[in-house]
Amino acid sequence: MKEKTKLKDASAFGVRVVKDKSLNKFSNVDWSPEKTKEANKVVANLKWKV
Amino acid sequence: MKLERYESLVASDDGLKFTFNSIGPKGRICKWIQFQKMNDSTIYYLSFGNLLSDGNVDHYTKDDNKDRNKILATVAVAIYEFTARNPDKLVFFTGSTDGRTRLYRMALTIYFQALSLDFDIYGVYIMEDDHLIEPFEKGKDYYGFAVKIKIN
Repeated sequence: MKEKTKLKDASAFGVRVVKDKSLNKFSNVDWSPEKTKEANKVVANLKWKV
Repeated sequence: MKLERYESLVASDDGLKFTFNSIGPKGRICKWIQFQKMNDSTIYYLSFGNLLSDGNVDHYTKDDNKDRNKILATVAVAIYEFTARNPDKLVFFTGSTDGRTRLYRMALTIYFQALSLDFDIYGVYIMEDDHLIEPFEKGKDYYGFAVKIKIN
């Protein structure tokens, strides 16, 4: 059976990731609604160039 | 790819939000990175800015804290961290200004060889009413960019 390749995460670059529950309060915050709306519009209509 | 980066990222439990401190002549500036699910749930929008003391995020201020490359390299690490946990997702990003979009294009161009070992890299451009996505080409103007981790 082929072993699943571990994908590189922050630890591969020596960067520590510390979980902080205080960031959870931002869970549903959209900081830039206009930009998000624009991004949604763009990605909703993405066509692959052939 | 030997780049200077900030050594730690603070993450939310869901792994969609990150902060880190930019440290330079202007002092300590808290940077905010967010991966936001789009209506098409296979695509996440990467937004980036300064987390302000009132809890808002400023996407436009130019800090001039003399650590631009270190910041970009740290954001790249956050993308690795996100895609390691969400390998099937496409990460889309664009600059909050034309200048920042050019900066991202420049960074992708400079580090294309190294990044393309790990990511499929795409450019997004607008033609009339269509939004087209294609493999990233150096020297071409794009509206935005997208990356997807390569799974070997």
